[in-house]
Amino acid sequence: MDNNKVNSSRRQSFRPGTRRLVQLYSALLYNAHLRGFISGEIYRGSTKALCVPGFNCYSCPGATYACPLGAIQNALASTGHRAGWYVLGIIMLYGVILGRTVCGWICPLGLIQELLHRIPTPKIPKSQITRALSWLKYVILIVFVVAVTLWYGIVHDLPLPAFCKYICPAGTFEGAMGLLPANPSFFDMLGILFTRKFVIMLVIGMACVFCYRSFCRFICPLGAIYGLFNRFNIIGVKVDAERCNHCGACVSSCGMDIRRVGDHECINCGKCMEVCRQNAISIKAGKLTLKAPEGGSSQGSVNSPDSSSSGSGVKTGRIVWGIALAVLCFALLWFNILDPAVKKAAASAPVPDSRNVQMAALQTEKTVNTDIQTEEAYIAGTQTEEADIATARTGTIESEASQTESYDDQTEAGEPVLPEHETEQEETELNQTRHENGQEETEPNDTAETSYESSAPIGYEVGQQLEDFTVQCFDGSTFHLADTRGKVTFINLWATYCTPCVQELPYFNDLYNKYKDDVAVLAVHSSLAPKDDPAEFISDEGYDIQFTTDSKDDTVFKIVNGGFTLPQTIVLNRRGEVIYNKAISMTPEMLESLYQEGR
Amino acid sequence: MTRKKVYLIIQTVLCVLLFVMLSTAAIRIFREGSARRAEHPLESIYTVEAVAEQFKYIAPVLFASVGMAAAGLILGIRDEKENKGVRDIRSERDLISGRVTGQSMEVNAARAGQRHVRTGGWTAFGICMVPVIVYLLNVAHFQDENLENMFAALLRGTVPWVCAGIACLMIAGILEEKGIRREIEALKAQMKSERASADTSGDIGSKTGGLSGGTMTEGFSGGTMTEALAGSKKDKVSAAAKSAEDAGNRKMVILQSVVIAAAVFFIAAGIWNGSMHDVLIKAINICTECIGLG
Repeated sequence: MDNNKVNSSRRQSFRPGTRRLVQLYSALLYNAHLRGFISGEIYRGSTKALCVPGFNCYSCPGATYACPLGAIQNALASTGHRAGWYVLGIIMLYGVILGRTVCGWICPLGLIQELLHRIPTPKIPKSQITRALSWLKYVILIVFVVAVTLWYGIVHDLPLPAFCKYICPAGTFEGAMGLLPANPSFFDMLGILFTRKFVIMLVIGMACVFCYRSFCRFICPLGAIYGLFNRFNIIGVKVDAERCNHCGACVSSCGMDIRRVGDHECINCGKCMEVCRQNAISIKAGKLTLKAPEGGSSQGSVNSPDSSSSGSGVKTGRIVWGIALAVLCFALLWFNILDPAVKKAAASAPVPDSRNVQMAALQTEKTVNTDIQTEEAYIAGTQTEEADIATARTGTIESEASQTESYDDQTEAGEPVLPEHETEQEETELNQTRHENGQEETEPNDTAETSYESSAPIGYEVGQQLEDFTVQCFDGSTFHLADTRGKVTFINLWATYCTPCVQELPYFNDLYNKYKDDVAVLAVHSSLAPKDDPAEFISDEGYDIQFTTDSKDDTVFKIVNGGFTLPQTIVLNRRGEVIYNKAISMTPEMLESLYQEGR
Repeated sequence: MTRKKVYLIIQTVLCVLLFVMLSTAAIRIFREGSARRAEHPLESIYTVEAVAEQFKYIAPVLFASVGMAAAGLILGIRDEKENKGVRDIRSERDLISGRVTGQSMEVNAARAGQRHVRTGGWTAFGICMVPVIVYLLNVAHFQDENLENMFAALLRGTVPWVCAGIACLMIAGILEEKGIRREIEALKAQMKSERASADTSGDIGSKTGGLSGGTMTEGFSGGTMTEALAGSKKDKVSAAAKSAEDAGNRKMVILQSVVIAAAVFFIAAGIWNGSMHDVLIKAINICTECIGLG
């Protein structure tokens, strides 16, 4: 008999409640791109323009929506360019509808904290100390989310998400830990920042084991923002003033540092409903009762369900859960299989080493043989176009766009978009690749500069040579890769919204000025340019290196295997062979060392 | 010492050990890697081999900790204090103060003391925040393009003041709690004296009733009258409270509607001015520094 009792109580303790199910559901819905955890790639669909209410890093491989806190910092950083009305509106909407109900019900980080707290250890109860510490999150909000981000955005035009960079454990846990196993090359990037954030993550995790929702109570700036709305949120825990006898059982049983139910610290979890003997507490959405206290009907509550209404309540609950499950199934299907963005990402995934080289060679051969006439026509067209563009400094984007249009026919056939080639050189390269593949014996190229000639295959790996390309730069000049033979060439992939990218640009500029005659530097902005022109962004900096924006079909990014992780640096030696190709932040020492290696 | 206590101690030790080992491993890899990088700038600080090497030592503790936690969860072991909750001294005070009619001198003094402590605590917190705000408002502190220097300076310039401010709030909280305890004692004493006086007046009343005799009906009817009067008064009070609540609810609905309308307007403005596009661009690229990669 006793054993049965013990077993049933254990079963009871393992049975997840409605709140836990909602937490799990929302965590799964936010991170529905499950294939990202295996492939090590993040989701790149348009739903990422939407912010979720809870704390969920958008660099997590599973994330299908944006993190509201990251979006707030991003908006504050770009205040100099445009006001972040969208994020402000989203936060206000979530705040007034849900308030801190978000923290208690639909925040994945809240779920993780609660699960960590379930590890059986002695627990630290709330006290005046924890109560005082709960004000810390407001200080963190002001210092790290607002002040530092805003100043660096305005003064330096540097997008610095200070909270994400220095504190956020969600980024380390969901993003870094999610991406590292599938991307061993990311190990090259790790340094002081990772060490610091890893230790911070451990400290916060440790605190959560011993102290209920430590991050949520003491650190979370998003909780601090939602707390401001908690007094007038629509969905939340409400107390029936007529029934309440001020016994304080609700406050005593609560794990958060509340003074009364529904104040700025209350996460509306509804735990207090279980201990309220007066059945005065319920979860409401306006006047509609979402969750009435158990046994409320016996007390004759207006809102509590009577026997007939409880039956219809169960029915409604089942219908809601049915719809929710259908939505989840659809989301899982969409974000893993059906979404065109996922298909595109799968199709453009880099092909491993040797196979890729062969493919590149074959593609080059095919293109040259079949489309040579089209290309000649294109070159003629481009040359005319270039003459027009040279007059306008910021004409690059249009030029690239028109290039893209010119190549539409080629791309439709599934062939790679080729940049401008000089036919002779292309044939030489083709012969070389054929030679590599053992297809055909070729004569050495007499016309090329023999001292810097390379027989390396086409590719982007170390030891290979990049496919040739020509781009129009912001200053009106033209960067032709083949012309850089004899110089150590640095190709830097960057973006205005990437802090490390913006930070390392002066290092490239210094290197260029130091070895002007011996170095060529091209900084290629991602084709995903925000509305403010990258040319405008760098116009005041006085850089001497060449800048361009990649075409909409990512021509240069494809050639150098540029991905969604910026910054990336590719270094070519005098013969045009790749000696370095990594997504990593550069230091002056590293650049110097690479230059010496490439000489 | 019970078995449960032993389990909790072992689990705590394992958790702390795991934390220390993981932190130490990360710092060790970083130090060794940095030393390598100082000689060869292109060397990686973290390598898969270095991580695997460290994991060899951590794995036993990690598995033991996970195993123990799983066993504890299955057996339903928990810290007993966890379910008890923390007695809220303010609620206790409110409960008692609802039972007394007036406020004695002692109660008033205790309340004034609490008010002073609270005001003092927040004033001290505010004073501590002044240097933080001054620091944050000074653009010169954010001129350094080396973010590591900026971060170190920011910590030096703000953390001591923030800690001092939080400490002031803690001290004020503890002192306030003491004041509340004093108030509760005073309230209890007052309640006792009120009860004693009520008992005395009750005795006198009953004695008078007994003496008058034959006044049962009068007394009864008189009682009904009083009850009826009290009832109508109560109704009036509850009606007033209800109307005030309704007015409050109306105001709340208006406020909510205004905020929702403003939010929708801001979202539309954001879509129009391109800030939604900014969110998309940031979200579809890996923010390496946000996730701590570098």
